[in-house]
Amino acid sequence: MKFIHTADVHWGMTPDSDKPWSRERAQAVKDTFSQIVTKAREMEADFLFISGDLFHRQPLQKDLKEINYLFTTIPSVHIVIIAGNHDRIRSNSALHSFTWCPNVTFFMNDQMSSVYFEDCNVEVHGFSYTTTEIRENRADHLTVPLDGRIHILMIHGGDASHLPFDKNALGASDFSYIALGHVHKPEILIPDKMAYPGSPEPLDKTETGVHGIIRGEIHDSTRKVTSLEFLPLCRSQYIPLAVNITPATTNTELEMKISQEIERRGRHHIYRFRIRGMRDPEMEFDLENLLSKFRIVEITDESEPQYDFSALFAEHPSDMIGFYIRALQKPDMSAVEKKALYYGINALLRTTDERSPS
Amino acid sequence: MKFIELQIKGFGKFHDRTISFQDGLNVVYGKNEAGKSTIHTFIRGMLFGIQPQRGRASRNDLYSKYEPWENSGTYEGALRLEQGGHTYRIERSFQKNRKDLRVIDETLGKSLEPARAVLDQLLCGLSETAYNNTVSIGQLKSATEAGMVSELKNYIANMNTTGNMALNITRATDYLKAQKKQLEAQLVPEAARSYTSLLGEIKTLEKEISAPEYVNQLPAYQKMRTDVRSEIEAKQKEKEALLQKTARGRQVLAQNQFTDIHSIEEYEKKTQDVYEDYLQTRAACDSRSRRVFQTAMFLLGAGFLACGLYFHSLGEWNPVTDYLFDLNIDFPGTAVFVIMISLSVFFCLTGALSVWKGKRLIKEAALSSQVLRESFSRQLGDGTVSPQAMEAFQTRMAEFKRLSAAMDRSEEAVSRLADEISALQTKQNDCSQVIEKQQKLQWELEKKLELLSGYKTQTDVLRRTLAENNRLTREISAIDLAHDTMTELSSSIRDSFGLYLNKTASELIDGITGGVYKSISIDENLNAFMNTPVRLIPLEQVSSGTMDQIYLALRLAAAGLIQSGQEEPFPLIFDDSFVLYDEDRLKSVLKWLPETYDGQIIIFTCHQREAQMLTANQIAYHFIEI
Repeated sequence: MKFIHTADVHWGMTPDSDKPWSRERAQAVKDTFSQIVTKAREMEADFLFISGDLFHRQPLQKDLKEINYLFTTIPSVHIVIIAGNHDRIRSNSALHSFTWCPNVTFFMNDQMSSVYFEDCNVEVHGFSYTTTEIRENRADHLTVPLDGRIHILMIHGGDASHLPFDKNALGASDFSYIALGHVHKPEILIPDKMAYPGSPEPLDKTETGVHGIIRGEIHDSTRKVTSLEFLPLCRSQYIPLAVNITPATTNTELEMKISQEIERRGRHHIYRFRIRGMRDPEMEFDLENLLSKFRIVEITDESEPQYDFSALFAEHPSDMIGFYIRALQKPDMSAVEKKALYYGINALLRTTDERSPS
Repeated sequence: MKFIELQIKGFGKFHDRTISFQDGLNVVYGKNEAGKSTIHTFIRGMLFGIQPQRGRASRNDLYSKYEPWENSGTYEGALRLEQGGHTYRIERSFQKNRKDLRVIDETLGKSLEPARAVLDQLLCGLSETAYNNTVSIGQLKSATEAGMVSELKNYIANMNTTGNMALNITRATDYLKAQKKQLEAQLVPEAARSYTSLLGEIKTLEKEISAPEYVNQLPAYQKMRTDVRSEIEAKQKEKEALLQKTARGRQVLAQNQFTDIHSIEEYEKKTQDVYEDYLQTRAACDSRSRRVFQTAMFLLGAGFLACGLYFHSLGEWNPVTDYLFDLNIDFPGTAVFVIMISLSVFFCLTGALSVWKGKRLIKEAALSSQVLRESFSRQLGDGTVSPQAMEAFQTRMAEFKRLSAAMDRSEEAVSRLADEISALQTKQNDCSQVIEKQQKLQWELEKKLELLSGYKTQTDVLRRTLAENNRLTREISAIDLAHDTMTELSSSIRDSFGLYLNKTASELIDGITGGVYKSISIDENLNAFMNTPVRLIPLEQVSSGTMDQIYLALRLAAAGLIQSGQEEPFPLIFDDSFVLYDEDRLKSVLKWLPETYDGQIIIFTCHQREAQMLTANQIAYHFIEI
């Protein structure tokens, strides 16, 4: 039995909503999901498990129609869906009155139930969220009847407010596979047993790295997972990079360094840069140009002006600069004090009267 | 401290050149471009080194400016000086790649380590900045008087507020203010408010969305509608079936010309009556008594006729009359005859009547039987009139009656069904209306959900704006802290150093101007005024020469303050400082200087007049020409 396992698609989300590429990202979320469907068809999967948060918010009729259309294109794939905390099923949900195509099974109940698929000898267990949080551990110690069926568990959660469960207790159960959802970072928790597929498309600057789906196969008679692998599928990645600078680094140099790095890794990715190191106090980096050229979600300038405070102090023991350093510099400076020190010294040094001796 | 000798191995235009200084006044004379500034810089370089500079300062990078002209490869030299009775030699190489500093105590004949620290000690902590500020004195640089005024004012203000002639607190704080303004311009002040109001909107919207009216009851009503619909269909089917049945029944009845149960009953009754008549007539026809009676009547008639005729034939007398006569009844024979005939006629008539009646009865019976036969043959297919047939007829009629009753019941059922169906249809319509309403509500809900989704996306954006605002606010508070610290420090500098400086400078001004100006006073706005014995003169109104004098006094005061507590004052270096002085002023300054200042004095000049004036006034000095 071959399956694809995904979760946390967040259909309908607009990532980086304040950035010019946000619409494209929103489309990428949808496109990647339809790619999953295509993948399911290509690999002739028997099952597509969607472990919660298929929708970013309560789905609208049109969302359901869109998704359902995609599902009609893979009539031979059983699609099993549970709702997560984001798309929890409320009493006013359009899901209640929606008719899915016959290959779709949507667990509407908030209590554990199961559906048996006779053609594949697979029984899928799961339940959906109807509240934003589930603080009780409902997943551990679930027992599986030894009835010769392949048993699969679908669970959404894993943190304190979303179904806290004990990974090892759950892993020790007799389910053939535990299809998890909720954590956006892909991770195979227990090889050939339990995995978070992560969001197929990264949704936030913190969701770095490659994203995709889990592809697996379960042996029909041993009922054990024979292969389980992560399959990259995402269009773009969020790539965090740290750029180290020295006092010799110039604006152009930094710009080129960043540009080259982006060109090397691909313009379609989204970048976060942290500039670290000591910069020339005279230098102020202006990287606006880059922001308009590439997809850079954030540039954090953590560089510090390289003032030699002890030299400055020695040079100005009895004037404003010396006093200023003495007033502010201390072992445990707060971030604001540190900045104040830089601002003050910078202002003093930049506004000296042209009186340097020839 | 005093300088003894400069040994220039390679510096600027000089190569292997030695210049010696003496105690007291030294006048270094050289024409323009002779290299005064080079020597000046060499001294500074010996004391403080020459740092290749970066950034803005690199344009007047001293390092490249004074690299040896001749390609000797040496960029170094030595300065010999005396301090505390010891002679020291400072050897320094300026070469980029092999910078080197050595301090040799010639008196002890040993090299001192670490050189840098030893040098710092020799300089008594005098920094290069302080050196530039105080002991190395040039003239005011500005060419115009207005420029000079502002320069001097700046100098006074800077010295008063920052303790450094080059550090300008006003400009520094203005710079900070400008930075703050720039950051403030990037703030989105309404973000917090928008965020709060947006959160309020979201809360309201979420409450609206969770209202019970939006609960999705579509599936329940749709199921109900489907159920009702199938119920209607079932009932319709039932009704149709019943209708067909009744139609058939009615047809059967109609074929039999029945309209309802009454018509059947009537027909039956009529038939019954006919049958009974028939039976009666038949019975009457068939009765023996009638025939006996008829026969008797006819026999009686015939008898009486015969008797009559017999008696007639007997004449008047006959046994009967005789008999009657005997009985005393006088009865004529004729009368007997007549009576006899009459009786005969009567009986014959009666007999005839009976026969006629019988005929009629037969006719009637035939008629009845005809009717019955027709009925029977129609109803039973056999026209035979018999009690069996009648029984069969009755059975059939009973069937008809049952049929008719059944039809009535069916019709009732049909109308009941019709009622039920219409009730169900109403229910179905109600369902449809509810569903329509629900769909409308769902549509409304979807609009709200979309709006909510939009709001939530907006909050994401606003959250980021708020984070950026926070970052900017932190920067701004850092600038505020910088500004406050600076202002506070500057007022404390002014309160201590500034006051002392002005006091010392005032004494010096009194001396340098020969009592023309008694003192200098500086108001809150850092405007300087000169006090003459009679009035206060704003700095702007004094002559440029006086300004230079004030400048000199201030610098000397600052030098004194910086070196206060030192046994051996630092050599004072004047670099073309007296250009603007007139003869009198120069004379008094040159006289006044050695009296006021204990240490070595080195005057760089491009004029001969300083030396001439010193000679003329018999002031001891050492003359060096380059």
